[in-house]
Amino acid sequence: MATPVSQTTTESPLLSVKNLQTSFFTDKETIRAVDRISFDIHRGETVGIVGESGSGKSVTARSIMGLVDSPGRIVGGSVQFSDVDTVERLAEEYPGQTIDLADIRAEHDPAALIEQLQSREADLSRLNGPGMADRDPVELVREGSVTMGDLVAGGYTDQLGITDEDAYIVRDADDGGFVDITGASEAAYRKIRGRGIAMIFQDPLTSLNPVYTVGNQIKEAIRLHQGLQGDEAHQEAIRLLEAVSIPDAHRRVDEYPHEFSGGMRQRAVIAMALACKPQLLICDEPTTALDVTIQAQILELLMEIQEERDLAIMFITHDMGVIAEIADQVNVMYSGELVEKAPVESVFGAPKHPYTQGLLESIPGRHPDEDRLRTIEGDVPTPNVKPTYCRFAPRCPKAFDACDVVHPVNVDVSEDVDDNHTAACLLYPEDLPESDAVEHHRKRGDGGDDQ
Amino acid sequence: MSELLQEDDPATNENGPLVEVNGLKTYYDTGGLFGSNPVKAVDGVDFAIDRGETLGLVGESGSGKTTLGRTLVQLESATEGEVLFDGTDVTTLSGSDLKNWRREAQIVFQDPESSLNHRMTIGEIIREPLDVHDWPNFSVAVDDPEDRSVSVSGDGIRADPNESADITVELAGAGPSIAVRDALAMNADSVDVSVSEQSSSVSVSVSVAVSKAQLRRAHVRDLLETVGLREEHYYRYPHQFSGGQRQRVGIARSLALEPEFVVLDEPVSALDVSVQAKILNLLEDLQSEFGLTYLFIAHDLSVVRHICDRVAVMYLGHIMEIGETEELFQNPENPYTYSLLSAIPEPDPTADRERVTLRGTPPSPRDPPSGCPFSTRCPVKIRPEAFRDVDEHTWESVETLREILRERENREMGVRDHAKALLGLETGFEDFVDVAEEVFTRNGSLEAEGVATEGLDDSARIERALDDIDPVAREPLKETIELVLADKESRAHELLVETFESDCGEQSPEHHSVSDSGRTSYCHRHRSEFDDTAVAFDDLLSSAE
Repeated sequence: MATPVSQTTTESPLLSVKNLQTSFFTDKETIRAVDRISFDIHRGETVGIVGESGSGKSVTARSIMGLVDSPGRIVGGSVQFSDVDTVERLAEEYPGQTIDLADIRAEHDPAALIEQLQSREADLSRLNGPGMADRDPVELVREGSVTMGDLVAGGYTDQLGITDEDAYIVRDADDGGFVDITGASEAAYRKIRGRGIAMIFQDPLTSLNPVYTVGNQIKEAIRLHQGLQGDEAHQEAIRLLEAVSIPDAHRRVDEYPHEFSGGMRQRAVIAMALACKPQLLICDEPTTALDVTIQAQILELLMEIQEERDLAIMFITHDMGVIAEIADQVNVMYSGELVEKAPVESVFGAPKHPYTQGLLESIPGRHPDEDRLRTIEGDVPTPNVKPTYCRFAPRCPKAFDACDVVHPVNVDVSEDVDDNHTAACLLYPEDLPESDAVEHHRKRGDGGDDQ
Repeated sequence: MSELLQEDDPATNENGPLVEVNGLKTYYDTGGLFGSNPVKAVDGVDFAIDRGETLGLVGESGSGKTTLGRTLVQLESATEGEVLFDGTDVTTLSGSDLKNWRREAQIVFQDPESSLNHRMTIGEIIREPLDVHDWPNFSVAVDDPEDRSVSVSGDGIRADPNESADITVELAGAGPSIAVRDALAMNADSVDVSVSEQSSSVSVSVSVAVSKAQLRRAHVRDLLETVGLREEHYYRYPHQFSGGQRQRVGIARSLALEPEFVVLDEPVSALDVSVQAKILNLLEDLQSEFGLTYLFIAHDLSVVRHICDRVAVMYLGHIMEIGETEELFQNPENPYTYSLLSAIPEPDPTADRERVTLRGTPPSPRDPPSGCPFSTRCPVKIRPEAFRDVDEHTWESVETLREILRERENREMGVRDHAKALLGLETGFEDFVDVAEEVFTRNGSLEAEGVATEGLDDSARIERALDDIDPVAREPLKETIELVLADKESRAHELLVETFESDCGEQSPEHHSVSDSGRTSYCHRHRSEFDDTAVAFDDLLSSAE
């Protein structure tokens, strides 16, 4: 909660996930572990992702990091990472896969391109942001709310044959451009991981090598990502251990992971991540294995580091208490889909999706006067078919007939204009009568792209 | 609940607690060649659990809560002290007595993944305790109006008068009337009883037409239903179940022998919140259905608050505070309880409260601090008279320095370190000026405070770093650092302890009674000459602003 969100939302996001879809292909079935989700992370902001086990939280993180193992694969969507430093580094390394926006602007007019697209009857819905659903794209271009950058990002220039489909690095002198991480090769991924995006995992022991000292492992990261050697690297390692509040870092730097306590190991892993100087830190349940007192220390540390370095954090957890503590924005996932997205105060104060409501209700202590805990009936289903219905409907106390035949899309449910609160449920938009609301979802659902 | 239980077995002593623990200690690694330094996992605890009650046991990992739970069901043997179960000291039981008693006290483990055998079906898993204990034993109670001596032969054995019998034979009237306990899936027709009566004795011969295997299978099916699973799950394997379902299997297994007392060792810690809610509801249902007594071990305090009647807070093998749940949560008296509660993240982003974050991790139970176990981390430790008014930064620096010296003293030296020490090569303290600088300055180093360190020698750097420290404490701290630099580290540690120690680190506190409901807290602060915990924390939080 360190940063007021309203300040950051005006600038373009650091990471923008659009329609990301990751599936696992087995002989028996195809599991759509992450099914067309979209969200943004801004600098200095913490975005929490919550959901039960099996909801796709970790696969989302691994997709962003390029760590999805076979038989899993990213099958659609894009993850745009707009860090200038990363874009420049990659553009230098892979000029053949780089698009320079300045060149395209010089040669083409966006309005003309749109007309061309319209004549081919291409689907332009991806261009229409919130609130522009029924506007004419050409008009939007004239107004300036759709730019050449949007056309490139949306893959329209690929369709027209202006840009190469394999090109995933977009350079833009005006706002820095972006890298679509999903297009990167393994070698390119290695350049993004660490210095661009770093990740810490639930169990620190899996990230630490037991046969090397902690200092050694931090120094390796320093050598690779900052190019420091010898004593310089050693001093930097000590400095980093001090930065993550490990007392007596001079001695600790020469100790092995087994000599560290659980909380201290997680601090060491955070120090390793910081050694890479990342822009975005993905934390996959970093405190789940720790005691509350140690958890409080780690959360405090993360918030401090974030403030110091203007770090963007994506925080995955199933603990609603932790989310309330650390997140600015919350994404609620259910069975591979993003069902609700809102600032943290709105999620807890006015949850809209019945799943979010159920999740909050089942926390012990919400209704101190009630003897029994409220529960959500049933279990999370495996997302193995294309959703033509609401995946939560079988467990939903508010389900009605249409829930079995119409797939809900994310609609705006903000109570406050700046809230940007969306929920994927046929009950919304609330101001429409039920049948109209259902029709709204049906129409928007049909328009969506699919793989 | 306890009423129900008393109806069931009228012979037990109704009024006393079910479990009573006195001076219990469980140490690991005792004995051995050099074994003078055991791990003191449980280091002297006293408490009681009433019938039908749920006692919560909370604490950080390493506090000894699991060891305590395991000792209560005799999975670990106690080093000292007694565990009275229904008035019998179970730590002294052995052989068949112990085996018989084990029916009464069962345990549910944290991780359903590792506590279920992957090669057995669910049915086999739940049935195993029944096979081991040869359930049912067809205990026969003979209700004889003339009170003659009774002997039982055939399939049955004579029931222990303290337990409810499987088969009850009533001799009044014409011919014996037979009743079978509900838990057995057979009716009275399957039991054939022949009675021969003499004037002073009765001998009863029982034959049962149903096989024990049949009864066990039926019992397992009943249990599956009781815990919310289905009969057809009998033949499935653990991997075919979700985490919540597996935990249900673990619960069914623990209930198979109809225990009175169940230790629940973090039964919901590995589960999602929505699944957790279902298991907690189930546990409460089972408790009221069977009149169970629970010891609920957990580190999630909101779960404990929901399910427990009373809570015991453990730290380093000691019970720091024990009392009624709501009272303890609303008004914690022990500084450790206070800090622990303060660390729980609240699922409400608008909640704005002062938080106390504890420094460091609990000390090793092999080498606990002298005096109060919490004294090394206590945010409101009682300070010696002379330093009562120094600022927070000074006190924090002193505590950090003590912790560093303590840890360095206790660290395990490898062969290399020993060799180095012998050769006088390196003591590990040559960089201590840096450490002192980090500890004493407010910003972590002189550089960060804008002081040019170029050309400053060690003593000048220390002098400069001590500028941030309250003048009262400067002299002893400077002396300590000098001793460390002169390689007299244990003398340095001693000096620090002598100067800055209070009762907290010197004497063990007492279990002070802190409320009318029998709550006790293990802390020096309850002595009349000191401020209360709440007052001390208020002072601490207001000075931090």
